[in-house]
Parts: sequence; C-alpha cells; structure tokens
Amino acid sequence: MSKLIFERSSPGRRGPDIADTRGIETASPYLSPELRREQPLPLPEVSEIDVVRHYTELSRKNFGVDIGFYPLGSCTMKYNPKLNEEIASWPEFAELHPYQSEDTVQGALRVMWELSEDLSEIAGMDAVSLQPAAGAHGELTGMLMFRRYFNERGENRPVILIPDSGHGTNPASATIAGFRVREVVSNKQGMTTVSALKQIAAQESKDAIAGIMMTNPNTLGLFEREISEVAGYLHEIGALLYYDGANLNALLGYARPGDMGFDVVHFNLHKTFSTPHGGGGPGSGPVAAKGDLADYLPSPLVRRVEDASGNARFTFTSPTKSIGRMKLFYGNFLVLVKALVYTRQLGSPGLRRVAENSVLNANYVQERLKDAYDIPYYQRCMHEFVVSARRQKAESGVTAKDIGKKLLSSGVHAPTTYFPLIVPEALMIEPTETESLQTLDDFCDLMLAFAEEIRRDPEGFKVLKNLPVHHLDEVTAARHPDVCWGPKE
Amino acid sequence: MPYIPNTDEDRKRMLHALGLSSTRELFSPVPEHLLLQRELKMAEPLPEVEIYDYFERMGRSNQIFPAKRNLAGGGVYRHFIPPVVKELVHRGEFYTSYTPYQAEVSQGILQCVYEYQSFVCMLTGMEASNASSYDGATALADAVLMAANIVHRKRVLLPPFLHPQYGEVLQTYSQGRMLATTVLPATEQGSIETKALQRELAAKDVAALVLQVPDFLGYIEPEIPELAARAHEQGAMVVFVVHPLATGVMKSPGDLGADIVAGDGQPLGLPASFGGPSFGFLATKKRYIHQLPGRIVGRTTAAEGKTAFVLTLQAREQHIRRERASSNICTNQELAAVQATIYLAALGRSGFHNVARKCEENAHYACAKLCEIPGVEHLFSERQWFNEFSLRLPSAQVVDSAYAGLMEKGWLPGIKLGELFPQLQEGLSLAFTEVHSPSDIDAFAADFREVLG
Repeated sequence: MSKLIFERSSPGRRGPDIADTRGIETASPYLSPELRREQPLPLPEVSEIDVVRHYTELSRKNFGVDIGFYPLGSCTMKYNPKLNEEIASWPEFAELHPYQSEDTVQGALRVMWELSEDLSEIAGMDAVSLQPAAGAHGELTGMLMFRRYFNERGENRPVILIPDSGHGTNPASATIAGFRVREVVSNKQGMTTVSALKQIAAQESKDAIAGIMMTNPNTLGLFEREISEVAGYLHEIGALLYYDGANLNALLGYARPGDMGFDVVHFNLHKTFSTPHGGGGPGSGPVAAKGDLADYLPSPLVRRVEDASGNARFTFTSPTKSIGRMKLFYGNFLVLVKALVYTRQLGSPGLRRVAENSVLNANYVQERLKDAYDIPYYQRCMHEFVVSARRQKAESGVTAKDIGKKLLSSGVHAPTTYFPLIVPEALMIEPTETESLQTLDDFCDLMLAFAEEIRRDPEGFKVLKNLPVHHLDEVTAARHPDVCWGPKE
Repeated sequence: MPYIPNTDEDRKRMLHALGLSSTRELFSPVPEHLLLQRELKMAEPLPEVEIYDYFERMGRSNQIFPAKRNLAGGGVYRHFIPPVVKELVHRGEFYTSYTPYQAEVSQGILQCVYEYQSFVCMLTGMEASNASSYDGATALADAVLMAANIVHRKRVLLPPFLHPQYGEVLQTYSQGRMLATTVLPATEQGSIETKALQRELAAKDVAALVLQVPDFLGYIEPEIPELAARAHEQGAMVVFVVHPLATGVMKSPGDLGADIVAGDGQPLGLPASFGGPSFGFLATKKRYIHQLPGRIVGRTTAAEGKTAFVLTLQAREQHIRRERASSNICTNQELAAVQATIYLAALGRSGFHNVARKCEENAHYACAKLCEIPGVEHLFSERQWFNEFSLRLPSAQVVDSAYAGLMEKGWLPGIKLGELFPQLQEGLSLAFTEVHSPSDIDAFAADFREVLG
C-alpha cells in the first residue's frame, strides 16, 4: 500500500501559497467563543511535490479505459473522447454561475436544449429533463412521476413489476418512491412475457399494478421480443412502462423505446454518450417522457422561444404537474456539454455505426467463446452477452470470480460477475464499439487459453501474479469497519 | 467514423465468422415493426475543427464574469483552484475507470476515497462518511430519510432560510416516504424562533431538526449547541448542512451537536460549472454507519498482510439488497470527491485555515465598506456570518436598478433575494472569497455608491 497523504505530513511544511496571509494567522475574530475554532484542523502538512507524487502514484494503481480493455457488462466502458473533456473545461462553460440571469447564459441553455432535442429523438419521446445525476437517480425520478401520475388520477396502484434479470437499482428505486416490488420470472429464453405478467395480475389484481421497469436489451444482452405485446397489455390495464436506459447503446438509430411503448425513459450519458465514469461519477441520467407523462418531469426544462422578428432565445420552464426538483440547479451541466459534443460529432450516421459495431463486437466474441464456456441463453445477442462458468466450477472448482481475477492479473478488466442473478457463475461481457478486432481476438485467445488451463491445472490457474494486492479480507472490513483515518492513531 | 477502430475489412471478416452478410442482419432479434426505417432527425455530424467553432459560438453567448468580479454565492462560490488539482484529477487512470468493484485494480481510487472520507470526517467532526452523494441537496434528503428511518418518525423541522433548492429537493424525495416538513419561523434578526422550535419539538413526532450553517443568507445560528440539545431532549436527530470551508474557522458540526452532517463540496476545488457537477458529502457517527446510504470504502488487509482498500458494508446496497437497500445510489460523484481530496491535500493545515480566514476577512471588510453607503443597510446586523451576508436596500426597485447598473459595470452583483424569499424584496446577498483583494472590494463599493447615486 502507498502511505496515506496524512502519513506524509511534516509539521510546518506547506503547499501552494494561495492567499496573502497577513493578519489572518489567528483564529476568527468574528465568531463567538462558543462557535469559534481555536486551532486549525489537522490537515496534512505537505509540499506541492508531495501531493503530485502521491496522487500520481495512486493513479498508477488504477485501471481505466485509457489503460486497457474493459468489457464490464452493463457499464458500456467505451472510449471517452478527449475532445469532450477539452470543450467542457472551457471557462465559457466551467465558470458559469448558476445564479446568473437567463440572458447571460443563453449559450448554456442552448446546449441543454439541443441535447434535450437529440435525446428525445433518439428515444422517441416528447420531452426531457436533464436534471438527474445518474441512472439510479433517473429511475427514482421516473418512479416518483408514476406515483404522482396515479395520485392525480385518484388511483391507488402500489405495485411495480421488475423482471428477475433487472438491475439492482430498479427495485431499490421503486421502493424509495414508495412502491412494492413484484419480480417477474423470465421464460426459458430469458424473456419477459405477457403470460408472466398476467399471472401476477391475477394474484395482485390488475388495478394494483402501477407499471414495469425494464431494460431492453435486457441484462442478458437479449432484445425483449414480446415488448410490443407487453406494452399493449400493460397499457390496457392502465399501467405504465419505464425504460432503464443502461443498454441503449445497442439500439442507437435502430430502435426507440418510445416506439416500443415505453412512457418514461432514462439515459446514462456516462455509458451510451461517452462521458467518463470517473471512478463512479459524475454521471448524468436525463429522463424523457411521452404524452401525459411529460407534464410530470422534474423542473426546470429548457424551452426555445422566438420573438416577433424570429430570433430564438432559450428559457427555463416548469412542467404543469412537475414532481419538483431532483437536484440542485440544472443537473451535471458539464457532463451535458460532453454528451452534446459527442452527438454533434457523430450525428445520426455515427450513432447508428455505434450500435452496429457494439452488436457486431459482442456477437463476434460470443461466437468465439461459445464452445469453451456455457452460454445458457445462447442466441443472437445485442451489445453484450452472458457466459456461465458453471461447467468450469463443476469440473475443476474454478469460479467466475477466479476467472475475473485472472483477467485482472492479465491486464484486462474483469467482466461483470454474478449478474444477472438468473445465470449461475455469470460473466457478463460487453466489448463496446470502440474496441478493435485485434483487441477482441486477444481477449478471446486469452479466455480460450484460460479454459484450457482450467481443465489442465485448476489449482495453478487460481494463483494470481502481477496484482498489487489480491485476496482482500472483505469479511473483516465489513465486521470491523475502518472507514477514516484519525490523527489519534 | 471517429472512435470506431473496426475497418470495413474487419467488419467483413467478423460478419463472415457469424455467417452473416450484412450488419443489418445483426438486428434480426428486433421485430421488424420496431426497426427505425429512417435516419434520426439530428444535426449533421461535424469534424473536430468545426466542433470547436460550433461550441465557441455557444460559449460566446454566455457571459463570463472574471473571478474578482463574481460576487454571487448561494452555495456555489468562485474560489482559486491550484493548477495541481486539475492536473492530477485529469489523469486518465482516474477518470476513465468505473466504480471500484474490482479492488485489485482499483487501489488508486479506493485509497483516494478513503482519504476523502477521512477529510470529511475531520471537517465535520463525524466518524463515518459515504463516498459522496449527488450534491448538497440530495445529501440533505438522504440525511433526513436516514434520520426518519432511525427514529421512526415522519416530520422534519427546517430553518427559516434554508437554501430554497435544498428544501425543494427534500420535498421531492419525501414523496415516496410521505415525510412532512415544517419551516420554523424566524426572529426579526432572521434566526430560529426558539419558542416555536420548543413547541414543535414537544409534539415528539419530529425525526430531525435541520440546521444550515451558514444559511442561504449567509448567517450562522447564534446558539447552535443549545438548539441541538433541545432537539435531542425530545428524541429528534440533528442534521447539519454545512459550508465545508466554514469549518476552517468554526467548530466542527460534531462538536456543536450534529448527528448527521450533509453539504455540498463545490467550494473545495471545483469550478462553478453552472451548478454541476459538484458532489454532496454525508457523514455521521459510527453507530449509524449501517443506515448511511451510498458507497463506503474501508481499509483492510490482503494476501501477504498488505494493507488494502475495498468497498465495504455492501450489504446495505442496491446491488446486493435490491428492494431492501438503504438507498438506490449506484453511480455517485466520485471524481468530484477525489478533486476535493486533492484540493484539501494541496492546501494542507495552514492553507485551509488561511483560505477560510481570508474569505471571512474579505466578507467582513466588504460588509463594513458597503454599509457606509447611504441607503445600504446590513440585513441582520446582530448576526455572525462567514463569507456571505445580505444587504437591505430601500426598495425592490432599487435592488433591480442597482443590480442592472452593477452588471453593466461588469460585476455579477450577488443574488436578488426577492425572487427566492417573498418577504425579502429589498434584499441582496453577496459572497466573497480569497480571490477578492481589498482593492477589488473598494472598487465594487465605489461602483455600488455610484449606481445608487
């Protein structure tokens, strides 16, 4: 381990001199003794070069898309264009204050309006709120919209349906919005069917069902073939459909959630639209809605208006039945700038190329791995697919986790493991469109060599080399949490 | 096509391996009637050179106020960001990584987050911090939901001048759990009316008393420990929303009676960014760690006795607990939190103290200077404040004309309070930081005097 920054401290050492320090060395002369801090907080005392070396050293212990192949299923770890980063850092965007008056931020509103228009068109929706900060935040937004919609209509519908292949955030979001969750069992092909929904409706009563949260392609990487029928049935019983946009990359310009019958959609700009994940954010999870549901979007939205002489200006508006505000100000604005750079650079033909190549890459890798590993729901996949290491586990005692860790030690990020929950020993692989055939072949060769090695020498396979740390003690970490450093240690 | 490395030849080979002849066939799982039969209606794709032009044009229709002429606050402040901060946080190893599920190749981010949590605990006087929330307002909402779950009560008391958007976000989040909020009345000096507080608490249905320190107008409650003690006596928790830099001059919330501390991290080395991304911090006492929403990083050991960092207490989280999780948060604002970590490390013990003191010193100098101008009064002259304060001008019309006049002279002259608090039509709030020098403040005062002329 690297030392902590706190452990690099030497009394009296200083970083950059920011402010003229004359007259301010003492404690506050303005606060009452009851509130005043008498001694400075014990922040580390380090020089600038210590800071540079410390965080550079830490960065070198981190794996990112810039380092190597990152086939983490459901996360769309595509390349993050440097152009996005550059433009979002311009002071014309980065230095805007949110309390500036509308007429001084017309460029920012234009960015937001153009992105809203693009997203509406891409998803086949009527209106977009750019406020949610992440996918799960978008889900919560959508569920609160459902809730308000039914309240307004005087209907009490307490149940949200979620397929057993759904993301964990779905049930958590629905619960926080005050719904009860019923799981929908997928059929043998991994699909959600009308008959499964009818079974639940028979138990719960049709009037109790508020709607469904679905990902399409689902987390098996499969397109939900019955989606139009599912939507038809749910609308018939007065329920709504929510689209979890985590897997939209596969469909850009080819198919639209709005055309499938979804009422509310979220996007993950940090997946589909190439803005970086940042080690876990900031992301952005805009929410779009169709028809009546658009009135419930969080406020504010951006509208384009024209004056008498036809000059466009942009203004904030609030939807008539808005659920309210989900976040401070206007969402993660700089992330929105990056996403618009991306859609402007690619346009419709580019986005279609993204979908095609993401699907092609996934199918190619699936084809090359299908004999060496089990693929329980094998068929033409979309942007990702799920292999199972159940055979390896049964025959050699090697698990999906072992394979994931072995990939890490070979300079490749692990796929998503043990998800979706309906596949035992799951390894969910999403190559994305920004990887070349050579990279895919190298990965496939590695996975095939693994399968061979597992058969030949399972114990040898489990030995991990080249990793800075391995076999972390997660049980002790959870039982005796050590979550912050204290100067008393 | 940018960012797609496969050549036509590559695609042909791959399709051949799949027994297909065209990419269109890849979409055969999609029912024919759902396939879009046209191009998306979007602007034509642009090459990089033209992207620059395109965004430069949009950038030009934004007005940028130089740091020294930006006096707007309201939770977002224009501080100096040492170049070392931007340089380090922009390393691709950090920003192109995902949430650190695979600890073996994520020790960099994980250690940064552990250091982040340590800084947050240090500033707030708490013992456990999450890895970040979306922003200060969602952190407050999370804190209040957490308090309601702990004490099993459903009402929340809010201070009279809570940041209005924090209140709005809390309102939205409360819908799912049906929490009720009560805004406490203010004294003439704008602090919490203690008799009213006592009355509300006596109902014994209050889950949390929220204190914002400083509040939206810039003021610090005079008797925080007493207020906290009263809440505790009646079984309510005390949730602080705190300006992180204020802890450089003020005792930590933990020493003033807080059970949970939330806040927005923008002042810690992040640009204003039109309000986002920043990050929210959320910290509490160790005994409530299992109710704390969001990711948490812990320190543990690995093979060969090495110290290592790992996402911990994941049994609270959505990907394990699904509908029984303590929150739905997945992606948070990690890189922004790392940016604040580097900022705090760069400032260090003396730098943090100096920046906080300088903000305080400049704001106090400015307040005295501005109140010399005829027609300008300090809104709450008996109160204590940190980097932000509010003025009362003769009328709402004067606020409008002064604001417009100062804008014309190139200032972003604070925030007009009448738009946010109907009872403060004559109010204008102003924020100062270490970027302002006494001569900037003198220049502003001179212009202010002139526009009031």
